[in-house]
Amino acid sequence: MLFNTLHFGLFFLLIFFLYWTVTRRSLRLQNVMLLAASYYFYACWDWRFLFLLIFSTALDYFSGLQIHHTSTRKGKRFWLTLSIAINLGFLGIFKYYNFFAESFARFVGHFGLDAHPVFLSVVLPVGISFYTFHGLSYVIDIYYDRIEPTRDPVDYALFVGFFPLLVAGPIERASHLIPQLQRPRQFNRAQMVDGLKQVLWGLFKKAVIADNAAPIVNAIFAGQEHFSGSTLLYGVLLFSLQIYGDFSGYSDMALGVARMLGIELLQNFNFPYFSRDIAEFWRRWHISLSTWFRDYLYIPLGGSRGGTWMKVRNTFIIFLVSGFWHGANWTFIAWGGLHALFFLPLLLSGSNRSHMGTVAQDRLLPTLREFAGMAVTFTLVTLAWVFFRAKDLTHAFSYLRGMASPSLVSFPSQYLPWLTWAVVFFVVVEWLGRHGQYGLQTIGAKWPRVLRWGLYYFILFVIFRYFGEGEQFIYFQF
Amino acid sequence: MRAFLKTFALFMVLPLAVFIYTLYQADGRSDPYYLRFTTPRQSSLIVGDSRSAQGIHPQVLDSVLHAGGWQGKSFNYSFALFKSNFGRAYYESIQKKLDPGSRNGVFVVSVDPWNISRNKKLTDEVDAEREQERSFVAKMHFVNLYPNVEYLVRDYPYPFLTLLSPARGQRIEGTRLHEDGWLEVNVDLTAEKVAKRVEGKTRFYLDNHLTKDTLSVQRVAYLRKTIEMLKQHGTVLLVRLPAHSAIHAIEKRYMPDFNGLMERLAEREGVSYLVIPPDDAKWSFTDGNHMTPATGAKVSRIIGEELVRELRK
Repeated sequence: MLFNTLHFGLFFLLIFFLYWTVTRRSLRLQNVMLLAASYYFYACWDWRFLFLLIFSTALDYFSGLQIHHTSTRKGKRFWLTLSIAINLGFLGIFKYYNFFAESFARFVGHFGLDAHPVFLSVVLPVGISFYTFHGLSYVIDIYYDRIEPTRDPVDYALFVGFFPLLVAGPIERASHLIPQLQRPRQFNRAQMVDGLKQVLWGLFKKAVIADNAAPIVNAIFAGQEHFSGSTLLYGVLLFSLQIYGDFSGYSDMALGVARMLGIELLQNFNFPYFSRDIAEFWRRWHISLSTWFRDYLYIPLGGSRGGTWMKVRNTFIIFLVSGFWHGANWTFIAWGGLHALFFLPLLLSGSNRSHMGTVAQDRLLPTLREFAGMAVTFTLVTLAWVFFRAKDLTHAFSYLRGMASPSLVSFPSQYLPWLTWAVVFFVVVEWLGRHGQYGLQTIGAKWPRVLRWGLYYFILFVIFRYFGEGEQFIYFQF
Repeated sequence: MRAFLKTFALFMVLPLAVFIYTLYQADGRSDPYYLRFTTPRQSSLIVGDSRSAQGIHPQVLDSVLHAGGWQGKSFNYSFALFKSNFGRAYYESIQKKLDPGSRNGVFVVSVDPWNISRNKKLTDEVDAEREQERSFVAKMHFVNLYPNVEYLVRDYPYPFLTLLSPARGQRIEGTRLHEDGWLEVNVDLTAEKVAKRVEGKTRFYLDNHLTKDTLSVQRVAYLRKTIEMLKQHGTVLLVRLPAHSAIHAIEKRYMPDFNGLMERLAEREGVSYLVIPPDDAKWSFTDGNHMTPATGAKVSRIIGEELVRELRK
C-alpha cells in the first residue's frame, strides 16, 4: 500500500476518523488500533513477512528488558550481542547474502577456482533496513543506560511498526517516539492543517516531480550508449530531482500523516540541495540515517577524537557502510566512497562545520559565494548519483565517459518542457520555504485565505493533471 | 475538531465538484477499457483478448441472432493479452459481469495460442500471482458501476484530470470503445502502412512470444472453468479468429496442435469450436493481429450464423 494510492487514502480516512472519535478517550485503545492498522498496512505488501517483523519486535522488546534487568555487565552484553547478531543476521540473509556469495565466487574465480554458490531466491522484506535499525538503536540505548526499556509491548511494537515510518523511515529513536506514544494526544487544528499541507507537498514531490522524471531517467540510463552527453547530463540531473522528490516526498507524507495523528516524527530532509558544502549536505540529507550512523557507529569508533588518521578512517567507514546500507551492490559502496572523498578536504581543513545555519538567512537571494558553494555541492552530489543509479560499476563509468564527450554541448533529446516548469515551481517553493520544515510550511501563512487556498488548489490541480505512473518508492528497496 | 472539519469540508467543495464533473467526462474515447466496467451485469458475453475486442461486433452479432429468432443483447467483455488471458483473474471478472439470472444467453469465447500461455520463466503459480498483483482486471471490485470511480482513480492509465483535457498523444484518432464493448480502431489502411505494421507485429511475436512463451496448464484449466460457468447460462461457442498469415505461421510454429487441443476441449465440454481460417485475400488487418472494422463485421456475421445453428440444435 503506497501513500499515493486510493487504497491508502481510504485506509487513512478510516483510521483518522476512528482515532479522533471512537478511541480518542483511551490512549491504550488508540495505540492498539494504530498497531493493528500498522500491521494491516505491512501485510498489504506481503503478510508472510509480518511474522518476521513481529519476531524482530519481540526479540528487541525482550532483549531490552533483559539488558535492563540483568545486573552483570557480562549478562547485559550477552543480550545485546544476541539482539544485534539476530537482527543483523536477518538483514544479512535477506539483503546481503547473494551479494557476498557472488563476490566470493568472483574472488576465488580470479585464482582459477570454480565456486558454485547457492543463491537465495527470496524477496527483500520491505522496510527491513528501517525497522532493524529501530530495534538496534533501542537495545543499544538501553545497554548504555540512555533510556529505560518500555514495559508495554504495544508501545514498543508501535515504535517499531508505526505505519507512517514502517517501510521507509524516518529512522526514529525510542527516546523521541516512545514518550509521545505514552502521552495522551490532543486534537490540534494547527497541527492538522500543517500535516495536511505537508502531505500535499510530499505528494507533489512524489507524483509530479519524481514519477514524471522516472521514465525519462530509466530510458536514458537503460540506453545510455544511444544518447548525447547533454542528454546523459539531463538524465542524471533529473535523477537528482527524482530521488529527492521520491524520498523526501515520502518522508513529507509520513511526517504529515503522523502529525495528523498527533505524533511528531524526526525531520528527515532539510533542503539538502541548498547546501553550501558536502558536510552541510549530509546534515540535511536523510538526517535520521546520518545521525543514526553518527551515534551508533562513528562515535563508538572514536569519532573525530584522536589523530588525523583516525578521523579519516572513521569518516571512510561511516560513508562506506552508509553506502552499503542502501543496497548489496558495489555501486552503492562506490557512491559512499565518493562522498567520503568529497568530505575529506573539509574534514582535514577543519571546515566541515562552517555552514550550520540556513543559507541566505534573512535574505531573499544568496550571495555569489553561497550560490557558488551550492552549485559546486549540487554538481558533486549529482555526479555521485551516477554510481547510485547505475546497475554496476562498468555502467557507471561508461555513463560518465558518455557524458564527458563533445556532445555535452548540444540540446538534450529527451527534454520534457512542462516538467521543467514544474521543476522551476518546485525549486522556487523549496527556496522560499527553506526556513520551515518543508517547502510549503511557511509560504502563504500570512496571505488572505483566497490566495492561500488558491495556491493549494493549484498544487492539487497540477498533481491530478500531471501525476506520473505510480512508481514504487525508491527507498522501499532499501 | 468540528471547526477543522468545517474548514476542511469548505476547502474540499471545489476539488470535489471538479472531481465529480471529471468522472462524468470519461467516455469511449478516454481509453480502450473503461466503458466495459460501467454497464450493468450482462446476460450474453464475448470474452477473449484484443483480437475479439476489436474483431467481434456485438451489434452485428445481435442483428444476425435476432434474425435467427434469438432475443437478447450481447456485450464484448474482451480486453487484451496480459489483461484478459484465461486465468483466475479474468474468470472472476467474467463472473462479476455476468447476470446470474441469465438462462438463454449466447457466449463467444475467443481463443488463440497466446491467451492460454505464460512466460516460460515463470511457473503457473508465479504467473497467476503476478497477474493478481498487476492486472486491473484482477483488481477491479466493481465492474458494473457508472461512473466507475474505482477504475478512473486507480487504474486509468493517464493522470485523472486528463479526462478533461487529454495530453498530447493520449488519444488515438479513430479509436473508440462503444457502449456494447466493441473497440473500434480506424487507422490508415494504405498498403504500405499496413505492411509496416504487420512487419512490426510479426517481429514482436517472434521476439516476445514464440520462444519465450509456453502452454499454461493453469490457463487451459481456467478456460475450461470459464466455459463450464458460461454453459450454465446459455449457448457457448469457442472461436478462433483469423490473423494475418505471417502471424498465423508463428502460431503454427509455436503450437502446431492448437486446433486439436481446442477441439478436444470443446468436445469434452460439449460445445462447438469454430475456426475461421486465415486468408489474406479475404480478411484485412490493421496490424496482422487485429482485424479491420469491415473484416470484423464480416467475421461477426459468420459467428452469428454459427450461433444460430447452435441455438437450433
